[in-house]
Amino acid sequence: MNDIVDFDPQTGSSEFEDDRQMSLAYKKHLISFGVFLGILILFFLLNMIFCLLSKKSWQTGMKEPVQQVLSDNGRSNLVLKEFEKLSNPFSVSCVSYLAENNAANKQCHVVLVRITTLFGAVPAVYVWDGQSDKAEFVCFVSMTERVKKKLLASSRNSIIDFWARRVPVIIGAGKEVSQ
Amino acid sequence: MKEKNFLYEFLLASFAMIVPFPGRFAYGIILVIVLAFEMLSISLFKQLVKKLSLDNMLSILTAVLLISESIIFKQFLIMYSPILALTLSFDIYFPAVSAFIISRLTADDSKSMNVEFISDTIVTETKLNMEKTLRFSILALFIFAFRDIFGYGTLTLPARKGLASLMIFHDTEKSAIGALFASIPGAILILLACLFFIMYIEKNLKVAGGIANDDDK
Repeated sequence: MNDIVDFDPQTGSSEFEDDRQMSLAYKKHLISFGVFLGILILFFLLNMIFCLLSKKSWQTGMKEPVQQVLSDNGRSNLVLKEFEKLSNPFSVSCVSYLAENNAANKQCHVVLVRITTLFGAVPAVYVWDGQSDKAEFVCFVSMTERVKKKLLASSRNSIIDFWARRVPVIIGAGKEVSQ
Repeated sequence: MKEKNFLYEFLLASFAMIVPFPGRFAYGIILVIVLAFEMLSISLFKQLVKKLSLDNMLSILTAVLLISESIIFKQFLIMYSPILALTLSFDIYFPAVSAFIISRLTADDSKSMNVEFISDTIVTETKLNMEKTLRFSILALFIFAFRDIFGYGTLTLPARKGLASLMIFHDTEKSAIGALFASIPGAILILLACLFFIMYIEKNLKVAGGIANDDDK
């Protein structure tokens, strides 16, 4: 309040000589706060619109590369079906698809998860049958042979294994590892 | 002071962006585009904020702008290539943090340049911002290309289904040593080597400039 009317408590006077001046000052401040709020709302709306526009691409755009990884690693019997919605914070760094196992006539979950390794962030593909407490690691996406060897050697028993146990929990049907 | 500022900016921007980003050239291109776009928009947005007489809210509004821009850029990336967006995930917000701090440092620099009018300040700031972004971008692209070629043995470009790669070195026993450059410790090593090299060149150029000035006298 003191900032707005510049009130001097020692003399008891303010810089405004009359009410008109004071109301003008209030008006000026209200306008600037209105503009500020308008900018915030504009950005918020823009974010909402773009998030909605990209939703379909997020749900379907990764199907083909994941299917390719499965085929390249001897899992061509798995055919990806629909996108599974994840209701946890991992939904920004993890994608899950229901898959049909043609050979065994069973359904399973194929999960693409971003894992952080010694070589930075890498997307990795896991397959989870929906019953066991651990998913099966398939391979990394877009990884050259030489780095893949090093990555597997350095993280198979640590990071890859950690995420194999974490995948069932993320999908929401598994039990916590600690239990 | 300027030299110290450059060192801070360089280290801040590099450790925030070059090290955590995956060491492929394709991600380097994305990083450079995001950073250039954010630095340019900061400069122009400042002009708008000054015109609207919201100077006292400049910091908050700049932060809001950068966060929104990062979110929008990520959504664009999802629309183009969702797998690249998933790999980058939160990393795509790092350039926003660096851009914010660099723009604050640049604002201090332009204030010390005795510019008379606000419009001159904006032009000076934009120039300084873009000059710094260009210098950093060249360095970042060099490091990403080096890591991609010698670390992964490929040169990659962003593609709709992930990475479009051109095989440069095929996998052999000897080439596996290069995998060090693909790793995070390798990235820090290259970064510090580049920093040392740049500082050495700059120092030598100053010494040479000083000798030339003495000869003129």
